[in-house]
Amino acid sequence: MARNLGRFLVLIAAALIYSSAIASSIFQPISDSHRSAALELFNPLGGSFSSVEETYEELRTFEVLGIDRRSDISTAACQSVLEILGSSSSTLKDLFYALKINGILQCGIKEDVFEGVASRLQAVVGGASALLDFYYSVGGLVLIKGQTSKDDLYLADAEGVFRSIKALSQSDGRWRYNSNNPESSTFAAGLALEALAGIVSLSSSEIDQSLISTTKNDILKLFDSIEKYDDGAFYFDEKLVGAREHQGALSTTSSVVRGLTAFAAVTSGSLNLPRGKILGLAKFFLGIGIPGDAKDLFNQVDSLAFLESNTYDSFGSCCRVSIPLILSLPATVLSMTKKDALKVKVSTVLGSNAPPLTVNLLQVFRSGSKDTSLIESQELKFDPENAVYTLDALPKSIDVGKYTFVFEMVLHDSDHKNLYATGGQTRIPIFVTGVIEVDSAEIAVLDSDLGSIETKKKIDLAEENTVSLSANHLQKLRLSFQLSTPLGHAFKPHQAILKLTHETKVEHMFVMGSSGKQFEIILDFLGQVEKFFYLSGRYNIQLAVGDAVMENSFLKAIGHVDLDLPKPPEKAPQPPAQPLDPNLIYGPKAEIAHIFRAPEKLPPKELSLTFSGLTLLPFLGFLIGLLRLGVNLKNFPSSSVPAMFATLFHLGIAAVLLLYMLFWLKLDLFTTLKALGFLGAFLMFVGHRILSHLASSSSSKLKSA
Amino acid sequence: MGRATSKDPQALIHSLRSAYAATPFSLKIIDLYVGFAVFSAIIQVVYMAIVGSFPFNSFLSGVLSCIGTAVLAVCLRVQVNKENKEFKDLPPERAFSDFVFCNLVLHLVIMNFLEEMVKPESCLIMSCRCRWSSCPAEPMGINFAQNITTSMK
Repeated sequence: MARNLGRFLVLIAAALIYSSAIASSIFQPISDSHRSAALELFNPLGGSFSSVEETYEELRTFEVLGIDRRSDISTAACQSVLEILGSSSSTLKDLFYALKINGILQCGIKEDVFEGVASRLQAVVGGASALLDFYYSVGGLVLIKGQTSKDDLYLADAEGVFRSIKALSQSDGRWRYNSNNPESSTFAAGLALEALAGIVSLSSSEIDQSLISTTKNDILKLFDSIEKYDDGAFYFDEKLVGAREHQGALSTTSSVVRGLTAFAAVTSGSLNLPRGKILGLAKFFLGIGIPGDAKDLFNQVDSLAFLESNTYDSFGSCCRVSIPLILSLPATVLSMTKKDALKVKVSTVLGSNAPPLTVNLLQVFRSGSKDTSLIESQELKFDPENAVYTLDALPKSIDVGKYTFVFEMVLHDSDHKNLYATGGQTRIPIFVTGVIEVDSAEIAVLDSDLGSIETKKKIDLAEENTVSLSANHLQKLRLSFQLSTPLGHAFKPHQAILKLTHETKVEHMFVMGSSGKQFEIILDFLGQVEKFFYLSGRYNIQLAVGDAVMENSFLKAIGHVDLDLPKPPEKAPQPPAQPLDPNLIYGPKAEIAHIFRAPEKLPPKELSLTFSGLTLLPFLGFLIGLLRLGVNLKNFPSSSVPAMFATLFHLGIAAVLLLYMLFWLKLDLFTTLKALGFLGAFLMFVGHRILSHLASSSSSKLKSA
Repeated sequence: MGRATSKDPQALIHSLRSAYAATPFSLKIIDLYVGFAVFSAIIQVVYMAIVGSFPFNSFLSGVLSCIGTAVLAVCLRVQVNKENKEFKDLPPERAFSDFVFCNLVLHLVIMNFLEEMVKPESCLIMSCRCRWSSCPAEPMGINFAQNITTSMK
């Protein structure tokens, strides 16, 4: 029992630490767990996906995560890419994704196929009016340009197309899907930016700078509508609820990130996006953890890859959008007894190493109190082997408890300061655990009136005790002990509970009060008799002390006290029924024994058969009697018609009896009655004919006699 | 009072036989038939006394079939007998047709009341009320037979 409760306390402590770690938003970069999740999520039935889009999403996710599974699906994927590109009836969307797959797999498409597709896409771009048509066709052309040796693939009227896409934009930076639809969408904004970026790269001449700068302005406006979580994550959400294709926050943010990075890559000059928001976007994607859906995983991984790889643009100069750096801790629970060192990892979102930088521990706060920092700012030592920043010894002033550590990343290279987003200070909650010292524990029985001590015993809470006490309702029970932290401070645990258990399993819990280090409880039995339900007898005493940061949380038996309580008055409350053993409720039910009616006792077969034979005896006697009487059939009508009626009459009676036999054996009452109705009518007719014939003949006989 | 001698019973039987010999031929046949029915019933009752009344429905229908037939035959005899002035105008053929009709009705009821052998699912109305000997003896069959016989008279 005690051991089980102890385990339970440990579990609670673990759950507390875990939940607070979640709530405090530590963003872990993409790791191996994402890779195994990807392998699980992208597991197509029968090796083929339902659409090229899904195939592309799988390939792209695996490419970013560095999983080599191309050989598994490349043959089938290339096959469908060839089919789609070769067919003149395939949709724009399929063409677009087929080209994207080809970009990853290099399926070896012939030049003339590309030319056919390119001319088709060119035609679509010329006549398009909807945003999605622009997106797929321009995107497809960009992909073809990247995949072929042809450098002369240019849009004829790039600026005109640019303007017609731009015409769909709204004043708040969002885009409409087409000119007929007044509703604007953030998701569409991402698509539009990507298409615009494609047009810029496809343009044979420089696009008008005023167009580029208004688009940049649109991006900044779009960032005004960005939304924020408390933990510092930023995201875009679709305000257009109930639209035909509603996109969630993840796919919307992902779309914007794709468009943003694509656009930043093809234009010169800085976008001047706030670095904190870029880091916040990265935090949003990382804060999802490991998605349970293939599409979500693709959006997460793809966007993070774009955030990380936007370093150099096509002009060879540096970045427009900064690369977020993520500071994470392998462990946020540090044990004082094990002398755990504080370790910090800095990496990019995809988990690759950060550029040279210094991590400073700026401040440490006791959580809950926002006052002064407990330490001076200090630098963490870099361990190049494991790429970990460590603080060998925890600061002297840090005791057990929950803290907030504030870190700062300082990049060594001043060029990097524009390249990376470190997000200023990072606050991370940390638990410091240790062994709490338990001292001067004693239990005593006091006399109520004088307060004098009747019995007093020292106990050692490091192990189980078997103290034996006795008390009556005029006395008091006092339990006291001291708790102090490794540094000698007072410690107030989450739980300090005294439990009394009666022989009948009725339990009473009391919370221990504290003043400083001293914990004490005085149970005045006189005031408690009602609560104890006037149950005299032996009470087992247990003490539980537990906390998330207390490494030696315990539940210990102290002993027992024999209580002598007064007899219960009438109307005294009854002790509550003890909860049933869960085995009784949820365990297997007793087996049901089916009781069948015992078969009736039957007589021996021979006896029954004998009596069956015996019932024939009277019939035999009847026949013999008839013979002796000299019965004959001379009265049977001799003329043909009456004879026929007589025969039919007898046959009719026989038929009715036969019908009864059938009724007994298998027919039901309704069938029988129906048949009987016909037979009866027939019988009545023939019976009447033969009997009236007999009557007339007998009466004529009488007359003649 | 004259003392009874050993010859008295013999004389009594003799006189009874000679008196009975004068009965019409058709009545003798009916008497024989009644005797046959009653003996059949007696044998079934003896059987029940030996092995018990299970299955009770079968026993009841068997015995009642015999008794009912006997009663009906007696009724027939009463009506056919020429010496009964009450039924002087009733032709014996009419009496016989009543006898046949009542027998058919009686046996329809008897068949229904007989314990089912092979068709527990198709049972209807009456026979389902008593399954095997689980119910108290229901005097329905007797009432039925009595009603018929009384209506005959």
